[in-house]
Amino acid sequence: MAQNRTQRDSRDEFNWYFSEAELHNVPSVVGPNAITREQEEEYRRTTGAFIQEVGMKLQLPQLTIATSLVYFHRFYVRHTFQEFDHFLVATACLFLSGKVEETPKRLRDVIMVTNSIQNKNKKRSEPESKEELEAIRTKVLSYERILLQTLNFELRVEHPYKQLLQYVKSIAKGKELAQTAWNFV
Amino acid sequence: MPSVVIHNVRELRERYEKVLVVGEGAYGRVLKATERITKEIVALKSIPLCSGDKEGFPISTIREINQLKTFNHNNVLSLRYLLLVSDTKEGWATCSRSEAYLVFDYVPHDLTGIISDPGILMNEASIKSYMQQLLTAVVHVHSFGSMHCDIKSSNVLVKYDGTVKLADFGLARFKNPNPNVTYCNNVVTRWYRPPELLLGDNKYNEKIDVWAVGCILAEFMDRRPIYPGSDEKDMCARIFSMMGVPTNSTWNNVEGLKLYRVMTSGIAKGPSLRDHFASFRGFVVVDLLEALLQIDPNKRISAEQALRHPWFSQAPEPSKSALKLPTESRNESWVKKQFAEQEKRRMQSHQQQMLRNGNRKRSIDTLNASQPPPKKQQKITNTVRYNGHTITNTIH
Repeated sequence: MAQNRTQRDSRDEFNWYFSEAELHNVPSVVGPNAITREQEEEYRRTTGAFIQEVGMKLQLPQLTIATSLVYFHRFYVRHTFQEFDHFLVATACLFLSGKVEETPKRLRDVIMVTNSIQNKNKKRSEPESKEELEAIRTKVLSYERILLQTLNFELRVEHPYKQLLQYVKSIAKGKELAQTAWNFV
Repeated sequence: MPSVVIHNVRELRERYEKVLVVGEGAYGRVLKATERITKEIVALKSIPLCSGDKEGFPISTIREINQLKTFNHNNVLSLRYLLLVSDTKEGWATCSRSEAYLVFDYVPHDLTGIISDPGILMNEASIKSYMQQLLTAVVHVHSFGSMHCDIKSSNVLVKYDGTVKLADFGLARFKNPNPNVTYCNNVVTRWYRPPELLLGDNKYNEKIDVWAVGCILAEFMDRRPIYPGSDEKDMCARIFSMMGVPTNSTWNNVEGLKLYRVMTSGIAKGPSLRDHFASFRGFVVVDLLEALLQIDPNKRISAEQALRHPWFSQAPEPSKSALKLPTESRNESWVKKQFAEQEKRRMQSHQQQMLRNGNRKRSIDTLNASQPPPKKQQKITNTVRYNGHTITNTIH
């Protein structure tokens, strides 16, 4: 597997376009502790929804949330869900995209929100202790660096939102269509 | 060449030789080193990453990297690669004493050094070439909706062959498409700060860079900075005494800027820009200078318009090799070193003078007579040698 990765890196070092076969054989579904493809997809779906929910609660613009989603999906083309906790990776993605898109949120605030939503999902009400929060903070900081390295510091992401709005403007008036189309992207 | 390289501290010695500290930036050291494999000389700008840092990887470095990865121009200093260093086996991401470096080509000269070296004889063809290359770089940067925010002569690097490289994007920002977004007012080094920043504007645009380019052109012509203000108020006094105090009728809504009242009080009218450059009377270059140093940013020309100015198409043609540059670096740290040595010599001769006077303490009439003249002479040498950079500190 390690060899596969080097091959890919040397062929096209940091090209983020992948073939269908490559996307079917992401690291999580190959190797000794492989998870099934369905499990992998489920992880991507639920964590994506999680990022969207946290981002909205943090009042981050959709553009920033979209950037975190791209970071998250790219991260797991190179790493496995088995090795890296998806909630912590999601937190690091939101934290980093906030800085990149000039809408920074304090790490403490990001962790508070990710925690509360995680706990809500787990139906656990009592908040984490100070020590636990501190441990999470340290982990997210190191995940941020792993994320930076994985993304090869290519942090600017172009999103189709601008083109979408221009297109909608050209065919129709009113906000309704724009909002509906926006929700699909 | 991969764009990110990771190393253990011990492996660094295998990768680089002749490592020297060449500068102390606002937030980290700058090293010069030779890559053993390529034999190329590189500059390494260190980014301190301490584990106690609450907000993780610094947003200023994220900005700088994003800027550098956007540009691709021969007159913009490009990022060769990022070097990530950790000093333990833990790895870069988890190690508490990790470091990151931005690695660039090493460029020996900068405009501060070239302008300050009395041994280098300026000529119009080379000044024109440097200005043209600088403006081309600025147009490139502005075309991505970005502002450099720290243009000054020491950030304009020059290779041995006369190629200009605009450097240091540590303060650069992408403009937000929303015109109501405010930016940090505390950008651009003081002597190169435009009036709108000095008056407290925080909705400025890329024209701040154009003003700084104008300051550099004036620096070429005078061989010293044009507005070496000792503080913000002194900057305004120098600029407005030359250009006149702006009012709402000459600059739309200027009186609404936060610091307008404080900064425009008690300013005496001095010689105008044209008077200041009287020796250039009739030269087209003064037109360009006036357009770049227009105090109202709305009337100041853009970098693109500046490039189309007739001065550039007039004889002599721009030539980047018209100036013979020394093999030794002529840059800001060279200027500082020269000045420190000069200062040391001055102190030594002053001390010797004091000693001599001390020995003759008993003869009262020599005491008053011998001291002042040599001191005065020293000051004059200083000002002649150090065009600009210290001139205001030494003239009394």
